Amino acid sequence: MAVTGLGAISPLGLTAEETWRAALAGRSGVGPITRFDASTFPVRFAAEVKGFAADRYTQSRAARRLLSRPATFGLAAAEMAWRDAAFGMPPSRDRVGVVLGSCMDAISLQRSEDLYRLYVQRTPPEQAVTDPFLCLRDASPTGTAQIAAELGAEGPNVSVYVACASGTQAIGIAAGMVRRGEADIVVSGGFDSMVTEWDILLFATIGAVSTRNSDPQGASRPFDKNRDGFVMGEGAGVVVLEELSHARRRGARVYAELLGYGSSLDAFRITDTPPDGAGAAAAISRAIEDAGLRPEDVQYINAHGTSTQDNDRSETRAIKSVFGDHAYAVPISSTKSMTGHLIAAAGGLEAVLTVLAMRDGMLPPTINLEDADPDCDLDYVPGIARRADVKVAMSNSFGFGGSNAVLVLGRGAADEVAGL
Amino acid sequence: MSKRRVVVTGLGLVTPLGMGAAEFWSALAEGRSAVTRVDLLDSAEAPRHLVARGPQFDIRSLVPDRKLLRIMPDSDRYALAAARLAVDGAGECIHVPERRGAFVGTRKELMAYEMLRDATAASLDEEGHLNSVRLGKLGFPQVPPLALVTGMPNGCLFALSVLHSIRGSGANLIGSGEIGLAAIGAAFRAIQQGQVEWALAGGQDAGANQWDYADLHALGLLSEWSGDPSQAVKPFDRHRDGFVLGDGAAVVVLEELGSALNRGATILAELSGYAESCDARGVLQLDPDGGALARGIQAALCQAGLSPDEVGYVNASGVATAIGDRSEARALNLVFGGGQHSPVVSGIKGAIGHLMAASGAVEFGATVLALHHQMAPPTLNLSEPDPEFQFDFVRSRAREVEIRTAITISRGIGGQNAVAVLRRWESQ
Repeated sequence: MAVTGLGAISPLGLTAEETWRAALAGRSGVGPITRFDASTFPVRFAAEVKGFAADRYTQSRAARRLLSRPATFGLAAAEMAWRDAAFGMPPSRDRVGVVLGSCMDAISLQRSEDLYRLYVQRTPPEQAVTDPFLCLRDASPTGTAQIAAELGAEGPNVSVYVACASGTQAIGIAAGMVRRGEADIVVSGGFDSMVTEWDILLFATIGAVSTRNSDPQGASRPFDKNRDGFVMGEGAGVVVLEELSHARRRGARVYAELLGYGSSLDAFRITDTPPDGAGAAAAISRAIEDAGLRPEDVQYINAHGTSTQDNDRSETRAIKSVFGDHAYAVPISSTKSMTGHLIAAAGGLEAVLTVLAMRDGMLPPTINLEDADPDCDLDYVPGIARRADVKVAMSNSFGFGGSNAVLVLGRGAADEVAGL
Repeated sequence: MSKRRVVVTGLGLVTPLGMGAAEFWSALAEGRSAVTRVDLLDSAEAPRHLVARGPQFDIRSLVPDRKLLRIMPDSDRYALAAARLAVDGAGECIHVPERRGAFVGTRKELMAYEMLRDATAASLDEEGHLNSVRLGKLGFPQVPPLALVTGMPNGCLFALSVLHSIRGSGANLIGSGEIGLAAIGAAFRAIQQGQVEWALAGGQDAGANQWDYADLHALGLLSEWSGDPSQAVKPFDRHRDGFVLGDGAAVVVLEELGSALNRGATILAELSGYAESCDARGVLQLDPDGGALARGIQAALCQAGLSPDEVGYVNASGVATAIGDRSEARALNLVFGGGQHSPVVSGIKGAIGHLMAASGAVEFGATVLALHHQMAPPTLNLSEPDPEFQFDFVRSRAREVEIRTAITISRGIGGQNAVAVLRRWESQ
């Protein structure tokens, strides 16, 4: 199965290439929150998408009424990926699917006021809604459905939500559809924005987000001893997956092959991963096995690496338990150090970055990794991007609620097409 | 690679018609309706909101984990109860957690609203508006620490994995009317491909509340029928005017055929095909001609290796909206019209309302029971079928009919279509 198109909207840029160049330069996309006045908030910074002109992507009246900010990121990234895949002849509509990890239904302040009227002031439900389209705009499947409408995709249309693993699980599900012949092409990845008033407050109540207000750009520091939580990010990352022979027949550029997918459930605690990383390790092993490879074949890992104490430690253990001694030889980096945590979109964006790492033979760095945590003693590509020839790479995502999802990607077919 | 076969060995239904598959089926077959008129505000006013409320039950007797239940709102509780019933009915099965999967379809929103009420109340200004400065200062201390996890859309998947020792693959899918069936489809594929041998799959919802009522009323999807509530929802009838919201969940146990046979399980039906398609016209914009749905039905049948002529019963989505039923009926015509053996057709939303994210799974359950009992459940309130719809509808009371193959159709608000093909199990 081939990856033939890439699209991204991220805190590092408004295209996949722009994001990629910034990641290689080790730039941070984190800054003070500008979406709303966060001056009284316990957390006053985030990795926001900057300079995004939503009206470029929402020209139809339906799109303006129905698309939330994160769904508009999704539409923009999906349209970019679609153009990037460069279908000369439009593919048969019923053979194109859309499977996306989509944002949790965010509650706007306007909606909170509606709800207060409903539940506390007991306004009759017939009169409580100020904007009938608000419930659709707030509902995550709306984005996936509208993107299908824009692309004319009449194949399977699925929205996936397993918190931080949503984008990766979506790509895994999409890959299954292509493999089984249920679709020739699936547009997949994720979109999200939890840079909203309620979301930031809710994550702050459980202590999952960094409170390093004095140094926002240093706040996301995966695997560093002084990490104190993740940084909320937003955006979208989308890939076009296509059956390999379908891609070859039309002479498409092949970025990479999707070789394997693994998923697992921790069955442990809702916001914690088991300290031994057993669930994560199971997903990693399943993905490698699904690809028909051995752990030693993996030459780069794009880590989940959220910058929380628990995740980075248990992810390191999971990698060691699957890779044994090879764990010390394989370079690992967390691009969340620069992009922040895009939650449901994280897996989509990280798949895009992993593909580009293979294409260019360059590994993006883990920035802010200054003081190594003794429990995290692998090669995390600290600080500066590194040249490396990578034929097989892996992307990890582990979500709240104990859902784990892992992709294995390979450069194989891209090399062949390029005559290497 | 030859695909593994998948059978249904457990069925847990928590619906407005009662607890468990037996209560559900007897009420459904008799033609009873669970639609009532209530006052969602619990005020002294005359009741005027049509809904189909979920059954009363003691969740603690089914899920003896108080700590877990603290973070499970109603929709999740319905699903956990349904899963318990399904697992108990299916009997002893594979115990290796890595070979077990869980697949959930939900519409759950991030917020359990009660959890945010105090913070909202503390932050509103004199005009009843919220702003972030007040929310950060006055609201934040009032946000309970459990608010985030209680609202997590994948909370049910998490709880199922803990309660039933599931560590294999899993997925949590978000949608509306189609998504309960889509979760069953995802489980079907995972077993077919050998990722797991056994899976819990289904959907859950709790839409009979003022919030959802307000939203769907504003979108014009709800019935405004003023007569007897049991006659409100009229699928395929010329006087149809929308649906009512219902509460509940359905969870099924799906199992690889070999593993079910080895343990001597009771097989309720075989799930032999599943497919999805999308109208792709955007939210609330169904294809009036049903073309994409027709292709979905054909793809599901093709996967099962069956032709339309072999289908004996169609459990239709029948949402009782003007465009929804027309689009579905035209799709059925495209697939089954002109065939020699047209299937009998019925839809059960007249009896239980629209259970949204649970409906696809509940209706899958109804289809399993139809095969098991060799009886098609009725479409209530279909007294004057829309003249355009020329089908052999089952009306008022269940009808005994020989069914070897049945399909069930579920559709989402964004034009998503899900279709499953079920076969009567005859031991070989």
